[in-house]
Amino acid sequence: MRERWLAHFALSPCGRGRSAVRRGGRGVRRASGCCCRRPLSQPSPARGEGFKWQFLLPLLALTVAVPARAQSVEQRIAIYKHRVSLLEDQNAIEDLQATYGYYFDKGLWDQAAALFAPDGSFEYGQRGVYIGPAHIQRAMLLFGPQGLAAGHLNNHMMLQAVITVADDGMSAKARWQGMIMLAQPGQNGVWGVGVYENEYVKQKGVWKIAKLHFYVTAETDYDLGWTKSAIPMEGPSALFPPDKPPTEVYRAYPGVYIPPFDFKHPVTGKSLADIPEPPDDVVGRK
Amino acid sequence: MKRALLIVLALAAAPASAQDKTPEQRLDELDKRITRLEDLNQVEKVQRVYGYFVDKGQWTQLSELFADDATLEIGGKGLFLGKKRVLEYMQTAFGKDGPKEGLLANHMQFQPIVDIAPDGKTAWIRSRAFVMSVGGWGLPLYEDEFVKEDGVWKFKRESGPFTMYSSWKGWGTTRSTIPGPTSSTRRRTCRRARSI
Repeated sequence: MRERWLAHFALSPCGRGRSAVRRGGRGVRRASGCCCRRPLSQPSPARGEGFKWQFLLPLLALTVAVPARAQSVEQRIAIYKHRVSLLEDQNAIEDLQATYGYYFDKGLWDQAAALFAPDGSFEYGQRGVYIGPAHIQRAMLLFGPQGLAAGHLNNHMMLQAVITVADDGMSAKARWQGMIMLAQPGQNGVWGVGVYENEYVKQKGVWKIAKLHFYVTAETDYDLGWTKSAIPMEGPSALFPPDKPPTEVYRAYPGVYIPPFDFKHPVTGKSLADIPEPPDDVVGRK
Repeated sequence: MKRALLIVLALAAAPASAQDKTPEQRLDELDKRITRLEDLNQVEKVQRVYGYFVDKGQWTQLSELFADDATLEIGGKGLFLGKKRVLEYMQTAFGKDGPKEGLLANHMQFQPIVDIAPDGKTAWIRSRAFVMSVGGWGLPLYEDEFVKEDGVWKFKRESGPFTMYSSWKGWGTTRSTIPGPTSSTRRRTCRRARSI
């Protein structure tokens, strides 16, 4: 038995192999560059803002078929410029969503609503869909007054981003993990969690939120925990009803629901849209 | 004469300054730097998608993040060799694909540090998962290796021992109760491997 375990661990690079690789990696970081070429199977970089499409389409074919050496200097500059644009777009979207989170934490509804596109939408749990910054700002008042109030905690952390920028660099989608910590005076604290599936649009060079959909998946009492407390989601408000009903009807914990994935499987490239939803006898899903 | 030759050789071997490089050489360097940034992002993405699959029990999709000869070692349950065994272990330990009613097992993926190897074919990540589950809280620490096969980044090795594991009462009152035969064995083995 002992020998078997040792044999297993001999295959594991828990010792020397690992450190050798890491040392190499750090060397690369200092030299700011690695030695590989962009593989042909990665998204083609020949697309995007700041370029003329007519000029780039022939380049698209070239990047797929022709090694970098056979491309002209001008062609390569155009392609690399576009790849850098996509990296910048991804960073801008990460900043945008993080900024939304910091505003939402502190009840800065005016500022948070201003991050949305004119026809942008906001959907939180089962509260329904609010459209446009003015409606979104009022919907957020249902969470508390502007700037919150003493004794309130409204932390909505924006974590674990998987951002996919469209080929033309004009729109993007992202999945985020949303951990929640809530408190109000006179009530016990709340732990929660959910998933964001959001969309973004670039208008006049500025990234804005086109669709924010927060799928709350679980909320519980701080002291009791999941085995003793499952707090149901709020439904649509009677005080300020939404523009549209919830786009998807589902239960939070103890029910289970898989917020649909916007991205394809990063290794197989297969769609994740056909992952079956688990059954729910309350919702009536078999 | 010999000395002059040496000087010529030394000059030829010296790194060329930016002015001496051809536009193609400068573009080659730029390509490497952009590729490295793209690789850093992609490795982070694979690690984060792994977390989303764990959250919802998507074991088939999770196993497809691994290279055919990849290894998995989590929760002190030993080392599983190969993509097929990763799937078999997940489905045996945690049931068939899909989330279960009344079960919460979120493995939120945070704080990645990625290193891309000089040849751009392998990478390492140090990152952590913050576990929020019906069982309580947990904090695995990952040291994972990735490999780029046909331009696609995949797990080559996943190792995520728990650094904290407690009931909902919290780490102040409950201690780690990681089961399994391997946690102490593993540490001894690693130390031995390093000392060889």
